[in-house]
Amino acid sequence: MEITLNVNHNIHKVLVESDEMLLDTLRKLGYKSVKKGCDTTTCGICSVSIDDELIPSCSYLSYRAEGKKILTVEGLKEDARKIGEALTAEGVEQCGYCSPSLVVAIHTMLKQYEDPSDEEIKHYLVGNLCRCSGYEGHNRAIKHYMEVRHDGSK
Amino acid sequence: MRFEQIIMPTSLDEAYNALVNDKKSILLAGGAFIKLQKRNVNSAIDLSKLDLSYIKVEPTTFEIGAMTSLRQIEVEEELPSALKDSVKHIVGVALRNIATIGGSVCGKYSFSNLITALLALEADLVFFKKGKISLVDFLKSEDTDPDILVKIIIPRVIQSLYTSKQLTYTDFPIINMAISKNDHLRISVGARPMIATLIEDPNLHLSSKELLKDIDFESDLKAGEEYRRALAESMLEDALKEVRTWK
Ligand SMILES: Cc1cc2nc3c(=O)[nH]c(=O)nc-3n(C[C@H](O)[C@H](O)[C@H](O)COP(=O)(O)OP(=O)(O)OC[C@H]3O[C@@H](n4cnc5c(N)ncnc54)[C@H](O)[C@@H]3O)c2cc1C
Ligand code: FES
Ligand code: FES
Repeated sequence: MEITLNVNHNIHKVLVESDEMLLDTLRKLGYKSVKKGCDTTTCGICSVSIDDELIPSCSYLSYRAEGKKILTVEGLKEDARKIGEALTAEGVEQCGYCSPSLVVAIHTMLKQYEDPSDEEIKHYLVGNLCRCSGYEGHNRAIKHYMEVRHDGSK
Repeated sequence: MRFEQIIMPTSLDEAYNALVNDKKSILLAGGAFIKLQKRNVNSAIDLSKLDLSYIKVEPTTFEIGAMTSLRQIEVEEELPSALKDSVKHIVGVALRNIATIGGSVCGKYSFSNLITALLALEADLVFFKKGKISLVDFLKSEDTDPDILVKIIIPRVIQSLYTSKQLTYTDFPIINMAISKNDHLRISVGARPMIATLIEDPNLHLSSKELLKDIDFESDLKAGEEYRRALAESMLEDALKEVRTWK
């Protein structure tokens, strides 16, 4: 079937199978930041934002995204740069495989919680696994990003 | 699971006809569990255009549409704490944004957090053809006639709680438990690893060991039978301390 997707404000007409998952469609369209991890909705690595909600693209049928706004890390630009710098400064961007989805998850979290507490951050991001870091550095990086996100500083 | 075509009904009648007319079709809710199944079907009947995603707060009940996501339940302030707390540890926000209450109930998963909570909350299920049936009867029933779960009704309760133990924050539970109080107390125990069951007429003067003596536990890869029983006893003891403070 042919569907129309809005990815990072770009409109794509694309042919998909009925049972094709959004992860595969996005990669086919060139959004290679979207990665496959477990492929069972367990690791969070494939997460993208759809209408400001965090969605596991490995288990989300492509046709269901029609008429919705999909956001991947490629569409985040300035936010992605700042979050990336905060993660790097804490030494938690190691293999980097989890980073694109973590950046998107932080972005959607901050759409829903203006100033999340430590508990809220942990609860929101617990489904985004990272094999390398140990998470404490993530928490420090997120807090630093929350301080600088509204100004031009690093 | 692979399927060749998607059917997108806009009425329950249309969805039901599609289901009964093709034995190799399946109802598609969040699709998270269906995805893990190794099966091929002709068509997936997508329930997302049937307006079944809602939480209605009524004076004496809550009505929850079958397509309501676990995340909607988690963030709806008015719902009983047992229900909201039961979904909080299910994987992560992303899964909870797609997985639905209808898919959770109809899957009859033995580990289910949500079924344990709904059982304590005395939930009724409303099916398109079979009408209203209690969750207790649904769990016992071996009826395999196709039908569509439309909504879940739970009465308002005075107090409720949910507690579970899992090896890691987001893992499947090795025991879960829920308690609700109305004019009577209901205690359910699940992930035994069998599906949740109720403790009959719980008497608060009894110890947790006595209360659990007729409940069966078994061993699986995650925990042994004895460990599960000991864990359940200790969890129930803690929970009862809280229950005794309820007005
Ligand atoms: C990786 C993973 C980990 C999980 N961990 C937990 C956990 O720790 N605790 C827990 O409680 N749950 C857990 N779950 C289960 C999850 O919470 C949902 O219960 C599950 O995904 C089913 O919901 P769904 O909306 O995805 O249903 P689907 O996968 O779409 O459907 C499930 C089944 O229900 C049927 N169905 C769906 N809706 C209806 C309806 N309205 N009427 C009739 N039949 C219907 C479908 O045909 C299918 O057979 C986990 C799921 C996954 C994928
Ligand atoms: S690849 Fe989607 S959750 Fe792991
Ligand atoms: S940095 Fe390697 S998985 Fe997170």
